Amino acid sequence: MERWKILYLAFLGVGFAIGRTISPLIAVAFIWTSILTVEIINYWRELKNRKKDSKPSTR
Amino acid sequence: MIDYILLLALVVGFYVGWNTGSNDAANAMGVPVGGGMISHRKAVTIMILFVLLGAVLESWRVMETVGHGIVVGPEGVNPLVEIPEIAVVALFSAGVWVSVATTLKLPISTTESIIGSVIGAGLLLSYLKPAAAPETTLELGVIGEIGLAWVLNPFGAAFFAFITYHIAKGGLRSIGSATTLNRILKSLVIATGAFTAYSIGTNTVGNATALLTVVVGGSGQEVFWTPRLIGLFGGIALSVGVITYSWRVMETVGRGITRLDATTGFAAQLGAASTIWIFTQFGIPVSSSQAIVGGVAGAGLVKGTAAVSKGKLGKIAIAWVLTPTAAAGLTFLIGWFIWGGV
Repeated sequence: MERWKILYLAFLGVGFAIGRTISPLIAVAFIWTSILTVEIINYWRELKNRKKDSKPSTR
Repeated sequence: MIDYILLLALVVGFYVGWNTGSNDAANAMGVPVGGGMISHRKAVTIMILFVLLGAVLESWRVMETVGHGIVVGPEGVNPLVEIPEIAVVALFSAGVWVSVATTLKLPISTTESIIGSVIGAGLLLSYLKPAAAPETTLELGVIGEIGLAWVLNPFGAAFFAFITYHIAKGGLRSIGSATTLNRILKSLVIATGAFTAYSIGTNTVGNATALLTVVVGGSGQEVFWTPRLIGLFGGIALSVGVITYSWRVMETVGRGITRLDATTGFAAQLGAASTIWIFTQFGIPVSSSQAIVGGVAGAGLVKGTAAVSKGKLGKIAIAWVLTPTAAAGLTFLIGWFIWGGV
């Protein structure tokens, strides 16, 4: 299984624990924030790699 | 002490949610994935975020109808709460029937399986007349409303999709640049995919977890397991199904849907999502798969072509009759074997 899927499953698990102990609405806020943070980091990495690939070689 | 009945209900409820997630993700994200507009990863992300939101905010409406509105006793007592073991059998039967039908490739709807199981549980209680619930009846008015909604669901989705297609086609015609048009269409398809995911969260999750509310009531833990927490549990189960098993279904269904074009896909999704969401407001459980088939048919009518084969429409008709009957029969038989046959 890909790493991002494992990470998402972990977020859901922690989210459920938050839902049980604090509040389901806070659990949803946690899951949203975690997943969106991962996606933003992933997008930023992809963008960086794309820029690196498009640079002409100096050799 | 561990409440084994509740634990069993949670395990079976999770399985039903997981199964729904792996199959229904395609209804929300099939168009953007099949059309190559977004990656599978982005589709999964959008699906999870919006299913959870819908499940926590609004799934209680459908939970209330399915869990407490169909099987009733005298003076507002819910017989399933009095004997939660029968609610577990109903949930188990729905899960078994969903698995059997999926294996045999029969037309299946989780929504209709659960309603059938609840009716089977009501029939069992009224047949056995146990001491804890001697006067159980089925609320025929509610069952009639649900049946009518199942018929109206694909037609409503078709109607909304037809209207949406007309409006969208007129509005998009004025856009000159092809690049801008593509971008707008892509955004619209993704946004309606998110709305469909939200609607699935409000309706399908509510239906899949309705019997959990009954078992929770029976075990005296309703203060701890609030409808919102049960909604979160169901939303997470569905999300796990989306993450682990949705890829193949999403691609297959998506390809079938996107044989049309992006405008049609957008109209079909908006039609389906609006219809499901409207039924949620009345607390009525409907099938998202049947809504999307209706939506595609409605959007396809604009072109004067049969966008959906007669075979697919026939499968819906079979599902209306076969699925609830089989699930009700299975619940009755298992229950009778456990409590009545000995």
